Order: sequence, then C-alpha cells, then structure tokens
Amino acid sequence: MTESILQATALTKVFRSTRRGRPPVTAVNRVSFSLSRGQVLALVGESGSGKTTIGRMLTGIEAPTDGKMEWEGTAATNVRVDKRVNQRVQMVFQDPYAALNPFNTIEYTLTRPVVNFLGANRLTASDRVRELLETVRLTPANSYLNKRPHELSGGQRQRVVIARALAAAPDVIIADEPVSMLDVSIRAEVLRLLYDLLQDRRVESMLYITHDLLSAKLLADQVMVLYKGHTVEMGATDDILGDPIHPYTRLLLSSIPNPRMRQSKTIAASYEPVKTESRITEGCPFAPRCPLVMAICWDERPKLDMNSSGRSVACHAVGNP
Amino acid sequence: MSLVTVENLSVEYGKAHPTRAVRNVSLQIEENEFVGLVGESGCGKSTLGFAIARLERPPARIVEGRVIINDLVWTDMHTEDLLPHRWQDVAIVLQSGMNALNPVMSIEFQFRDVMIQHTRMSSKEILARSYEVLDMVGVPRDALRRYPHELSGGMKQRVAIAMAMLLKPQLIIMDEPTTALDMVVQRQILENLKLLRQQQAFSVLFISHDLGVVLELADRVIVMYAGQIVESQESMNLLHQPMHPYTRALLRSLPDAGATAKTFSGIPGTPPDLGKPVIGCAFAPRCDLAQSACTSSEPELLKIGTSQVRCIMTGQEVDRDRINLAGNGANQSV
Amino acid sequence: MRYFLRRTLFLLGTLWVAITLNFLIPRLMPGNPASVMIAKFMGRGQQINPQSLHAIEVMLGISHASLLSQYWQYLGQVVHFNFGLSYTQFPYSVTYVIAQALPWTLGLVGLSTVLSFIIGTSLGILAAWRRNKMTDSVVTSISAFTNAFPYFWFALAAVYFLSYLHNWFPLTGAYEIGSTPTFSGAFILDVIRHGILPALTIVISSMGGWLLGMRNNMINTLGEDYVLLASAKGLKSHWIASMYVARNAILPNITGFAMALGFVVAGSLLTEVVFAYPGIGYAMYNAVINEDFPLMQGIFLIIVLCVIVANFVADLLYVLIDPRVRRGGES
Repeated sequence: MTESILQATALTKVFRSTRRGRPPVTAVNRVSFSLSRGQVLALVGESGSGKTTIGRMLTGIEAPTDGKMEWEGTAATNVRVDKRVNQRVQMVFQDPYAALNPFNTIEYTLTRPVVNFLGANRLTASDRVRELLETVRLTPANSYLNKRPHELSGGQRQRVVIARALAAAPDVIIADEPVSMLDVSIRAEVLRLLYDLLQDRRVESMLYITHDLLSAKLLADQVMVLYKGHTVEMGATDDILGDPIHPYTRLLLSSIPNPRMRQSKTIAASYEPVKTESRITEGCPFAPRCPLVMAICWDERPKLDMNSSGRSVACHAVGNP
Repeated sequence: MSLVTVENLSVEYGKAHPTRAVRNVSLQIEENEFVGLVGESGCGKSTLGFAIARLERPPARIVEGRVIINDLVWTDMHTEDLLPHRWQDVAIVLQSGMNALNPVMSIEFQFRDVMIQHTRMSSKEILARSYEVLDMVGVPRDALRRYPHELSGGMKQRVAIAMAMLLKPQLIIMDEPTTALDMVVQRQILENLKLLRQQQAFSVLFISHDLGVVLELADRVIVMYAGQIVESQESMNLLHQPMHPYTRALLRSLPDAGATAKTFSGIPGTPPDLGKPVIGCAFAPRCDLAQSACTSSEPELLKIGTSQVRCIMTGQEVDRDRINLAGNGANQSV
Repeated sequence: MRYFLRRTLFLLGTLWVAITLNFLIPRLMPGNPASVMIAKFMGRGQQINPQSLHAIEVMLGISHASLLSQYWQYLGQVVHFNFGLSYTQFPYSVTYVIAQALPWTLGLVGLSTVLSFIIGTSLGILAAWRRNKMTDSVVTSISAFTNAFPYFWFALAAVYFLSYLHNWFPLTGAYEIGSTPTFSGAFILDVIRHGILPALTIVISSMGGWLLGMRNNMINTLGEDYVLLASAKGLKSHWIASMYVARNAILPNITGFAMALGFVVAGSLLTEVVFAYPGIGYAMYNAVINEDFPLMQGIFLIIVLCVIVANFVADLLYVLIDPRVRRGGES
C-alpha cells in the first residue's frame, strides 16, 4: 500500500438556507476517501452530487461542517490559514474566464505563487515561470509573459490556470471540471495535457472532479461516484466502468452518448425523481429513481461496504459484490 | 423538391469590418430527415441555423444566397408575410431552456399565444393539444400551470420541445438543445427525441458541438469549419469513413468508451479569424495532411455519391482507396 | 400570504422607528421653541416675565414632563393626526396647514410624476423598438440632454423666459391672488393655467431618466432568448413588443416608480419654492426658515410615511407582476 497523502474522513457540509423556514441542505454527507501519492482519484457525479463542495472544502474555500481532512497525518481543520497546506493543494477551476485576474499579466499570475510558496526572489522566479509555461505547452514562453487573459483563447487560459496550480509545486492538484467549459477539440487538448503531466510525474496526485465518466477513464486510477452528497460506489476505474454495480452508476454510464447505440435504450432507472424525494432523509438517496428499489431502501440508508478487491458499493439491492 | 434548400448562403456580422460567419453554404434537408450540424464554437453553425429560419439577429445579416422552404423563398419574403409560416412550418428549440421561456408567463400562456396566433382552435382544443404535446415528451400535465423557474433544467427543455411540436411543423431547428444539461437528463431528452421521431414525421436540423450526440441521432451529419461546409455524409459512413481531416480530428477528440491515451487527441491551434479574407483551405494551418497546394487555393466542395467533402488531399485519396483512408481515422472500439 | 405578513410587519416596524426618530431629534436640539418665538416677537434685549413664557409654552404645548411621558403623549397624538399648533401660522394646527397644502402638492407633483413616468416609459419602449433609427436617436439624445439639467436652474430659466419676459404663464402661485378656491369652471381653468409651467418643468426634467432606463432595460430584454423564440413563433410584433419585451423590461422600473411616488411630497420642495406654489414643499420651506418645529415635524412625518408606504406598495406590486418573487416568497 502506498502512503496516503490526503485522507478525508466522514466529510460533511450542511448549507443553511438563507431563507428562513427552509430546511438546511446537506451537500456532502459523511464522505470518506484517501488519496495515495502518485494516484488520481476521480469524483464523478452530476450537478447536486456534492463533488464541487468536496473540492472547495479540501482547498479551504469552504469549512467542513463535520469530518476530518488530513495531509500526511497533519490534521487540518482550517486549511485557509495554514500556508503549508495551502501550498500542498492547488486548484484548477472550471471557468478559465473567471479564474484569472484580467488586470494581471500571465507573468505576474505565475510569479506570485512561485515567490509566495517557494521562497524564490523575482529573478530566480522568472526561470521557473518560463519553465512552467513550457510545461503546459505555451511556447515560446516569452511571447506569453506579458499577455493578459483577454488576449488568450479559452484553452490557453486553462493552460495558464494549470501552470499556476503547478507553480507552487503542490502535492495534490484538485481539478474541478477543468474541461467542461471548453470546446470539444480544445477539451481533448487539455485532457491530453493533464494526462501527459501525470505520465511525466509533473503532477503527482490529483483529485479529478467531473461529471464525465469517460474523461475519468482517461485520467483516473480510482473512481468515486457521488449521488446527492453520498458515495454510492467506489473502486478502480476499470472495474467501475467495465462492471458498474450500483444502479446509479449504471444509469450514468448508459447515459453517455454512443453513436453505435442508435436504437432506443431501455434504461431501467427513471431519469427524474418523483417529487417527494427531497423529503427522504432516512433511506437511500437514490431510492426514488431506482429500478431495484425495495422496502428497506426507504427506511435505512445502505452502508458503503468494501469487498476484498477494494470495491465498495452502497446498495441494499445489489448487496456486496 | 427538398423540404429545405439553402443556396449559396452567406451571413456577415458588422458593416464597417464585416466578419463573414457563414460563407456560401448550400444544403438540402429532406422531408422527415434528421440532419446534424456540427463544428467548434465560432464555426457559424448557429448563425446558419438562425439564418435558415430568418431569425438572424442584428448585427448579423444575410448578404447573399437563398433559403427555400416548402417552395417559398424565405429570403425574398417580407417579415410580415413570413409570420403565418413561422412555427407552422419551422419551429425552433434553443439551448437548454434556461431563457428560452418567458420567465414571467406560465407555460400555458406561452403555448396558448402561438396557437391563437396561427389557428382557430377553441380554448378546449388548445388545452387538449397542450396536454397532448406534454404527454409526448413525458412531462406531467400540471407543468402547464407552472412558471419556467419552477421546472428543472431537463423539464424546461422538454417543455420547449413540446412547444415546438404544437403546430406539427415540418422542420424543427434545435440549437445545442442538450448542452449544459446533466448527462442523465441529456440522455432522457435524446431518448425522447428518438421516440418522437418514431411517432411523427418531421425534419430536424440539430446543431451541436458534440459529435457523439449528433451521430447517435442524425441520419446525416454536416460538418462546418470556419463558416463553410467541409463534409456531409450519412451518420454511419461519417463515423466509420470520415473523409475530411477535420472530421477525423473531431472524432479523435471524442472521449469514446474505447478511447485510450494513444488514440485520444485534440486539435492543436485555433480556427481562423473570419474578419480577414481566408486564403486557401481554412483548416490548413491545423491540418496534419496539409501541403503547399492547400494554402494557395480554396478547395471545392466535392461530391462523392451522396456525400460531400472539401479537401484536395482527401479528394485524391478517396478516388484511389477510400476504405484504406477510413481505417486510420475512426475510433475502433466500444 | 406569509410574504404579505412579513412585509406588513416590516412596514409597521419602519414606521415606528421613523416616528420615534421624528420625536427624538427635535428634542435633542438645543434651544427652546418658546423662547425662539418670543425672541422673534419682542426683538433682542427685551425681557419677558415668566408667567407670559409659561403661557406661551402651554399654548404651544411645550411640556417639561419626562421624555418618556412626552413620548407616550406624542404617540397618542400621532395616532390622532394631532401634531400640535403651527408657530408661524398660529392659531392654525399643523394638521390644518398640511391638509391645506397637501392637495396642491399631490395634484401638481403627483400628477406630473405619473405623467412623466408614462411618457418616459412609452418613449423608451418606442426608442428601443426602433433602435438605431431616427426616432431613437432624436428621442434618446434629447432626453440625455434634459436629464442632465439641474432642476432649479431649468425651472428658474423657464420662469424667467416664459413668465417674466414673455408673460405666457403666470409667475407665481397656484391661482390668481384674491380669488377663493371653489369648484367653479373658471377657478379650475385658472388652476390649470398656473399649473402648466411647473408641471412642464417637472415632466421634462424627470422624463429623461425614465426614458433612458426603460430603453436600456428593453434593449437588454431584446437580447433574451425568449424574445428570439417569440419572433420564431410568428407572433405579431406589437404583441412581442408588449408581452415579451416591455412587460419584462418594465419590472425594475415599477419599483423605481413607486419610490418616485413616495418622494413626491419630499421632492416638491424645489418646484414649489421656485413657483411659490402653496404645497407641502413650500410649507416646509417656510417652516424651516421660521423655525416652526411642530410644522416641520408634521411634514417630515408625512414625507417619511409616504416613502415607507410607497416602498410597501412597490413590494406588493412586484409580487403581483413577477411570478418568480411570488412563488419564491410563498414556498
């Protein structure tokens, strides 16, 4: 077993409604995972699954309501004030248009983390900045130094965002839907870049947050499938994609557009939940849409059981694989 | 005669320094045909779609060419004379319903006003038809009394499709109808569309940047690049035997279930600036097959059987060995 | 319903704060209104005996009781619209003075505000619908120009040129001096003749704001997808303009309009001073000049009341016309 670099235990985030009289929303419900050095873990889910909130808690943008985050054994309850933790985990955001300050040059954007975290001075930093730009294939580096974000295309901006995340030489990169706002062809380019960075060990460990199971297949070793803040299935990427067990994972996989599936599909699970589903607090969150739903599913929340091969599923109906 | 015939259509933005977003496009859509129109953002696919429905938004304007729908030359008709044909002949569905429905009116009102405008249906008949189209897309009938913000994204989009069906149009133009929706919701809408096509006869022009979605639904796919059609083929032919290097690159950039790091790649570079004249093949700077001839003169749109392709390299190759060419482009596995 | 209740509670709360402040502020000011009044009557250096002072104090309702008991008394008076006697228009009560002035203000400023909103909004719709055409450029540039006028300067210029130099309009007042207000046709004509110029200055100077705001909202709304969809539906263009564009574009302006109505009473000051129009603004001006505290207090309260009620009405109106707020507030 490789050493665990990041350990999240029973992470929970409850958002209180700003409107009085509305029930608080549990965005993340006791989610646990561990990320080993040199590993890529994908958090996969649709909107409302809590995947982004997990990323925001790990980077200290949100404080967890409950649960623990540890970096190589150092507990961190308040990431924001801890500069060491801040350096260890860097984020790549979804929207490359909003993630860069439009007034700063690319050089300044990249120099700052190098000076802040690595203790470099302005002179030694400039070599590092050039190197970073070359790493993300913005070459020749000199021609990008004095540009500002609006002079770059979406794909180029996202490369700058990735370079900025790399600048602090972090242990973990959290990439939150890094390609979902990009055009298909550019999306492939950026995914390719991330893949190559991982191959070359420029990025050691990554938490890849996505709604797209296929891009997770390309990048991740492990996949965790989230539904409404709960982990429903977790395991090695090839296992999950090759042999999905949880009904929700199956629904997700069968939803992917497939040119070879021109006939209508018979998907057992219903696409949209019946109305009362927000009331369900006791049972399985997926019960209202589940084709295999049983009486127990409404009353008792299934536990995430792990089998010997490291595969976990939370489902009463399919049980332990 | 085809249902829709577009002849040599060009659309420009701006007057002083015009950007030619659609450049001399000709195409046909047959009755009951599902045509996919794909390309990167900025390739002019939406501009073309709206121009066909004569909905070009200022500063966009049609500078040449004709659009003929049902033997009527829409490009020559006065706005007032077009009114009775709108929605009746051509309906549209916009991107994921967010703002395509008026937020301060109930769904019922927005269904009703178009039926009042175009038909002499009684209130009872209008209500019956409203229920009928909602049933078709699987939206509960009580959605009729609701306001757009009370519906989920997927629900709104299905309501938008139901609205397009109200007058049984011959053509529905859909502009990125599933973009920005969750995967599962997108699947539901795609299945809905497949089902509708089995039940009713209508043509669709489905505009999307997602070749995967388009290939799954469309009978024929038109690929646009830099304002021009670069390829047009039957879906399955396009998937298995793409002709244009751009189409092949698009297919390679699709994250397919069989894709591995080896086969998977993007398209380097960016599309040309259409504010300046394009010399030679617009794709040449990004093309891995480009030769000196590609940068000197603009390739013609070649007709090969029912397919079309705009590439001098492919044009030559296709004649020699079409099958061989197709082998190295498509993704192979499921 | 919950929403309505919450708004009502909020209204009552604000009202109470306003009334309390209105009570406290004059009492925190240094000086005694009675001595001010006496000083005015008798001139400097002369003495008045304590009995006379006391008599005046009693007459004016000035009390030496504790602040709290005064407060209770004050609240009771407010509920009965009893604000005491005016110092300057003695022996008339403040309520009487306000009742005399209020109709003039509501008639002149209120009517002109409504008029300027209607005209400005309509022209804004027209300008946006005929964007970049002749109508639009003419209407928009003129209103940008009139909108930039400082009101007092514009009003004074109008009085100088149109009334003083050319005598086309009467110089001051709401009616011919010497005539008594009746409901005779001649008197009403006289009132209208006096009202035209002040009303015109208000309409012209405030119309531009409505016009530009509405045009701006319209142009934003025109870019919305649902407007494109409406034209794809083949709906008649006047239907699209009114039901899909103007209806949505006017929402933000409704609040502004209700607020403007609330400020009618407060905003009448400049107009009424320039035209010596016998409304609330003029009365307030005189009250301030002459340190007529009860009158000031009464007028302030009326102003605050108008603003708060207008806010309340704006909130309720918004709920009626925008379903997003309506359902959002209920669930």
